[in-house]
Amino acid sequence: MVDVVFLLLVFFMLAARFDTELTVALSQPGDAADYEGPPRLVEVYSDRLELNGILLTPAQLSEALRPLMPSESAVVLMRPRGDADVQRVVETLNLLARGGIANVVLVEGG
Amino acid sequence: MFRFSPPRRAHMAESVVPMINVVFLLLIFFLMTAQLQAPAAVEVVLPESEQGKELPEAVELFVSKSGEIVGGGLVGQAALALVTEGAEITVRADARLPGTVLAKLVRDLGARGAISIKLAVVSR
Repeated sequence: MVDVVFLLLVFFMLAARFDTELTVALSQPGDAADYEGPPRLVEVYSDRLELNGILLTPAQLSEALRPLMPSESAVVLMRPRGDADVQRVVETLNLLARGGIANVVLVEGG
Repeated sequence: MFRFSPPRRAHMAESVVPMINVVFLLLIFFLMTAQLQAPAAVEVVLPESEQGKELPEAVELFVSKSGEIVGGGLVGQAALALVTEGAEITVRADARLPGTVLAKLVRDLGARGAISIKLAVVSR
């Protein structure tokens, strides 16, 4: 009986998921070589988002980007500015992913 | 006239065998599930995300919140030198690392020929 109990214990230990770590793919500036269409530059500040220099709310961002996209998989450039940290960058990536924009290239500058 | 059998002695051998079974099962369990992963070279709190894919086998670069890069036991530019043409990189950057530093690192990795750069996150 002890054997069976321990077998069950091992089974549940195996079935349990320990790791909740995932990865998010980051595109490189070189991947933007086949850039098409109007400028799509999302600037991420720690307290606000700007698309092509125009201040937007997070909810407006995907909507504002859609007419600028020549295709569904078009590249969007994202530039962290000021003291925006990696968490902020990931949150913005999540925001764009929710809006169906997956091909985001991280660029530096400014 | 009653013939009682003598009191049975505790079966020492029998009670030990299942315990050994269990110990071996646990041993095999930990052998199978243990992932040999070097302890984090610098303290890193991963950013939280609601999307992402399972971690692949790849070169891991740790970036602390102060921008210190550590990978393969090497620090700074020496760690970046691990990145060769066609390398797959998992960047384990601290959530509070400035995004500008991450963007510069991604550019540097791309310049060194990394074909796949992934950012480690924890599931929200």
